[in-house]
Amino acid sequence: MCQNTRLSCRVCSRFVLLAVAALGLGSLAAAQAPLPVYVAFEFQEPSIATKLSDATRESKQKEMRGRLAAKLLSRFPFWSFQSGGPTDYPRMQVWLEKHSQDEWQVHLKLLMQQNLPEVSRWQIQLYPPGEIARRGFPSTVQLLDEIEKRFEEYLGEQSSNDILEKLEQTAPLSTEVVSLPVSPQPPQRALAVLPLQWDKFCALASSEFVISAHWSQGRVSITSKATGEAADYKPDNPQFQGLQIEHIEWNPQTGPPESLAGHLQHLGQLTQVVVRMKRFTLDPASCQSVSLVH
Amino acid sequence: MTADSSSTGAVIPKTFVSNFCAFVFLGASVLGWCYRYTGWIEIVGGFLSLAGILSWLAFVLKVIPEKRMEEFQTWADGRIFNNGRVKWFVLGLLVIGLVGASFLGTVEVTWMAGEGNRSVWIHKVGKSEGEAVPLMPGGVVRSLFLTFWTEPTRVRVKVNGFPDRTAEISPWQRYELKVADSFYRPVVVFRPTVELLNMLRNEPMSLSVKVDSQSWMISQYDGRSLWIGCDADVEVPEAKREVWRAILTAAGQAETSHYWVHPLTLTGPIPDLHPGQMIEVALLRDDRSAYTSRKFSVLPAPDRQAFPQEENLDVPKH
Repeated sequence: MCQNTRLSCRVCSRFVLLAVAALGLGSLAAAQAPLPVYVAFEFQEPSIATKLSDATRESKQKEMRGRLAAKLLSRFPFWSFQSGGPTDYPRMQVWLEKHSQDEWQVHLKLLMQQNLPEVSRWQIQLYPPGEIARRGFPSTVQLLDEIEKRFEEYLGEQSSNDILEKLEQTAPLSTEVVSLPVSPQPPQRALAVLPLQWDKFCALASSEFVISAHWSQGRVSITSKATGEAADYKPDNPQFQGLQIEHIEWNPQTGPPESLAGHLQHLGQLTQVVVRMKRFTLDPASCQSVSLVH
Repeated sequence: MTADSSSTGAVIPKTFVSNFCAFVFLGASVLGWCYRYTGWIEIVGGFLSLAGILSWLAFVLKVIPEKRMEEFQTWADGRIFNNGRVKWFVLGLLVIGLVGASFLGTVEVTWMAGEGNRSVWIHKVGKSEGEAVPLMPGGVVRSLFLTFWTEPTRVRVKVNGFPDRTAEISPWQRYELKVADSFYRPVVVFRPTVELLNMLRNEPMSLSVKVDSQSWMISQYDGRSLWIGCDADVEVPEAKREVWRAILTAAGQAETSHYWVHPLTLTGPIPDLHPGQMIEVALLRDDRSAYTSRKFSVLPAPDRQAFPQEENLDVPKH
């Protein structure tokens, strides 16, 4: 339903997401942190990279990693963006490139695993042709400020929705899912709860998820949808309010999709679980309830 | 008296002839020396001309009666020109003059043609520059120096807009220098590339310059051009400035030409460059390690086309 208006949903969603993130930061409840997406930054362009001493360069790159991670976190608060190095995955790699006519660009690429091709790549114009000629290359301090500012602007533009899509498709939200007891009376719903703290992730209360896992007969992919409600995580040992989902479809690695009804007993046997977002649908109403609670 | 015989007879006494010749030779020698070695000949010539002392002398002689003049001439003829001892006096003056001139040498700076005017400083090396002497197109400036055969005097000659020049002056020597050809010598003008200039404009670094064992450091170097081997007063040839302006205009930053057209210079003793000398320039990071560097050797400067030697430094490309 929302798919037709998905773009507009996305555009307006960032404001809500920011609010949600702010709520999340304010929460002190003990909960599983969102899974990390590491952010790495390197000057890379030799004329800049070698301008700084090794120690200064590393310090500035580290500072920039933190600043970019904060910007990504405020735009995409469902993952825990944090500074990372070249061996950390999944990783958003950011670097500077210089092109003809002294045009400078910030490049990003999303890497999920070592030895796997990059998921996608984006580029942001930092200095158009002629700008450096006019004003000279900025000082390192100013350069970092301007990269951060331009990066933030880009994340506020529609084009950054592509980053969200790629993150949804590839970056895990969780590696755990806890099934809730199946009601003895029909309709028997396959409910589960994700260890995503409700007051941080309430904006996902109408979103769809895909859960990849192993079971006794191989790999399976389960399509699930948030129910718009919170549930105890975990039911037998409540720690916080998690995001409740309902499994919709059982998709074995080979063969056609199957109804969940025939696999209710298998849900408890899943291993190597990876939860990813399939479709983000903004649900501001759920977050209003969070605001009221707070 | 011998004086009478000299004025009446057809035979001119030898003493008179020799004394007369000695006087003429003394005067001609003094004037000739002034003409060759000093800039005083115009003054001396003017003083001796009809408009100078001669006009006053003519006036005084008119006042004196003819009889008295004749008496004076008779006296001078007898006491000076017909006096055998005067010859030795004149010869003594000549010897003194010769000995004195044997401890003098001069520097001559000529500007054949050009526009405007220039200032010339000529002074012993190690002494203060003193006052500048103006030099007009077609003009000559000369300066005398005490010097010795055993130890010629070293003189620095500086014409504004050109590199200075050191001359070794020997006795009796007239060291001739012509503006501008005599002042072209090995000098390096160093500048960064456009890319490096842009990198330095807002975030200066330290520039290290090494010439043999001497080294200089320019902190907060922001990409300006730099003279190595001469002072900052030297003008970049117009042709080179035009090329630089064209480079910057093509890069879309014509307004940055002031970084290059008025080069800095090294502070402290200016190196006297010789062909073949090695120069190393390096831009240093905050930890004093090199960001980018270059070595080059000094080339000869045979003429104005080869002046100055231009050397560039670029950003690292790898």
